[in-house]
Amino acid sequence: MNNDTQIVKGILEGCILKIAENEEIYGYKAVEKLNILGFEVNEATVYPILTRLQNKEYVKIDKRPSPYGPMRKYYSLTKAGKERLQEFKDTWDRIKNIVSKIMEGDKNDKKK
Amino acid sequence: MTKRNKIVLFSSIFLALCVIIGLISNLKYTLTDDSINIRSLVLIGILLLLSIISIPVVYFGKVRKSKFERLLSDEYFQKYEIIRDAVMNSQLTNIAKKEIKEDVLDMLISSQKSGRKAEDIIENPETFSRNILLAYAKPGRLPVLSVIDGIVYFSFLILGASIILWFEQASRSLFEIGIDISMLTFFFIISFILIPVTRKLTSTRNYWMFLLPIGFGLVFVLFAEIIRRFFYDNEIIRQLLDGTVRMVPNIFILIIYIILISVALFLKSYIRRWLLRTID
Repeated sequence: MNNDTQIVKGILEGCILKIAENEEIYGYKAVEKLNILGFEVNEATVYPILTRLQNKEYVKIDKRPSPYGPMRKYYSLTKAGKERLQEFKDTWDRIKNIVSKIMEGDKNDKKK
Repeated sequence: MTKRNKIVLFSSIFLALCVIIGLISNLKYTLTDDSINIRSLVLIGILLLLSIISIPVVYFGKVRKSKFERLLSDEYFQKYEIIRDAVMNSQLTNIAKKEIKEDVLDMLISSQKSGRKAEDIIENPETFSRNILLAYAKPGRLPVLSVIDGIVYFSFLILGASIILWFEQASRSLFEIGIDISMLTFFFIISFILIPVTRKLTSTRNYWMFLLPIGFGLVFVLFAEIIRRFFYDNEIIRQLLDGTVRMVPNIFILIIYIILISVALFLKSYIRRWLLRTID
């Protein structure tokens, strides 16, 4: 998957917001979760997204030392982040339906 | 120590040695002079001390690994130091820089502990740094601040050089001190071209770029000597090489410099806040 495309970055942003809604996350954990879900991403893709979410105040941070020593940022959703997540869900549902219709139409055309 | 750090250290030692050799030559001249100028001796002593101190400052400030950086393997550290240099050379606030450094360090240590290769985490550290900076401001916006930095550096260099020359020439007032036009040209290039270009180029994998200031210094001196030898008959060249300008001719101009520096620093902080607020 080419993670550089804007569409994938947008989807990843939504997914990270969803993960952060359920539990407090940190950079490495976010990458791990996304990979378990099948995204095949690395830190170089996820960290700039987390930074952007923080700068837009969609997530708030809590800094605590990590088990290895350096300070670690734990991200959790803000009210603005919850609203953004809802927007993402609505947009995603709409796009998913449109794309599904187009794809199914394409299959039907091929059957004919 | 990585090759990158060796080059940084070599560059600082070389620059310090150049200054020390220059000062010792000057000292020889001062001591053979009939009337020994105590102020000159004190000045040379201070500059010698500063040159010597600059080496441990570079070592402890830039080369020596911090407690947590030592946790990274060589493979990971080589990626990390490029990102660290790019972030530290950027126009972000000091708080943002520190925060990014900590985040990247934590992320890389966690990845290393999980047994993953550095190459799988960060394929290209330059792209990674660029993406982080993009999360803070639109591309091409923050470098605007380099111009304001240039104004501040240039003003500081002029004031610093005037004070040093005045200290050396005790009999004259500060406002009578002239600075060589060639030196002003040198200061201008350092402030507005060399510093931003070096900052930009040392944020890449090409660590040889740390030698750029030395290279520029050598080329500048060589160029000055060549034009002195071949084009000294030309009035403009003669003025450029040996002409002087009083850059601080009176108290009002001195006050203007101080106001200019303060305004530039305020403007920089204001513009930076505005630029960082207007991300998409």
